[in-house]
This record gives sequence, structure tokens and C-alpha cells, in this order.
Amino acid sequence: MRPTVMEINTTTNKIENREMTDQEYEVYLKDQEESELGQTL
Amino acid sequence: MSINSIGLTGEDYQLISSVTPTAATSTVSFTSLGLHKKFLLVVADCANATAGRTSVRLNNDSTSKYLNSVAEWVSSASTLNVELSTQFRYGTATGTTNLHAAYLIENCDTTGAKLLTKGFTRSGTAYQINQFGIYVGTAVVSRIDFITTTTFSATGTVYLYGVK
Repeated sequence: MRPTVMEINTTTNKIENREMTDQEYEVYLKDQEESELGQTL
Repeated sequence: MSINSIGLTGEDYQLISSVTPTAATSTVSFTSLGLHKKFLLVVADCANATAGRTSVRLNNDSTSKYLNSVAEWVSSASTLNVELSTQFRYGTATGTTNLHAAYLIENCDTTGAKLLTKGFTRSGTAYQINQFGIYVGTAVVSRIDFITTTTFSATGTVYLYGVK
């Protein structure tokens, strides 16, 4: 299941929990992969 | 910790927003930011639901434009790493213990490089990092994301301050 994005629109002060876009989910999976590979930074 | 304004001449840090991450969230995203010289992102007592690492991105940019220089201390060992990355990275430690961090991001209203200074630690863990970073994107900063590689617990608060 995809995690959500908590988006705070600082102009309208509206807070929304929304589903990740496909592009955001791709980046999320890539970050996880790198993290599991034990990148040193 | 909640300060609405740190009033200094020419350095007036105003609270823009503060939130507690909700469970199942992996990104806290501050969007539609007005023009500011500096932003200060303060993370107080937030935690990962399962072992994960946290980072920060500007303008939703996940390309290799972030130079990280990280001095890290874990228990008795210390390391220094320099790396070009797709984000202002965490350190090596993963975990669910509560974390505390402050990120000062400067030059946010210019097309030049944005500068990061960061301090980071975890509760109850022999772990600290100090970091300097450079982001070479040219757009002014209008979005800041605080990210984990897993999901956050519904605990703690993320504060965003700005200097106009």
C-alpha cells in the first residue's frame, strides 16, 4: 500500500493527506532501495 | 517547543506552519511557499513507525543536485562523508527512536546555490550528525519536503519558519 503525503499549503493553510502520485511513489521506492543498500550518507 | 517569532533586525524568523505527521505518511510537504531569504525547519520528537531514514528535498527535486558533507558520530566511531545526492540526506542510522533536527536553508530567494546547515540527533541513541549541504537548483524555494524511507508515527511536530 502506498504511503500518503501530508501536504500543507502555506498560502491557504489547508492540510491534506493525499495519495502519492506515480512519480512520487517511484522516488519513494528508489529511496528505500538506496537505504537498504546501506548508502553511507 | 513553539516560538511564533524570533525577532531580530533583518532576521525575523516567523512561524509559517507546524504539523504533527499522521500515521502512514512518508512525506510532510510544505507547498506554495512565498518568497523567503531563509527557512528554518525544526523537527521535534518525530519518529519513524518502522526503521527508516529521513531526508529533506527542495522544490520536489529528486535529481542529483544536492552536495552533502556529513560529520557523523555513532557510539564510539566517527566518520566524514562527502557525496552528490538526490536529497539532503540523513545519516547512516535507521530506527524508530524519536529524532530531533534543525535545518537552516539559506539563499532561498535567489537563483544561486542554496545552502544547508543541519544538526540531528536521536533520543536515547549515541548518535549525532552535523551536516553542511549545497543545492544547485536555480529556482527559488517554493516547496520543502521532510521525508522518511518508511512512514512516520503520529508523534512529534515539524515546524517551518521563514525570514522574508
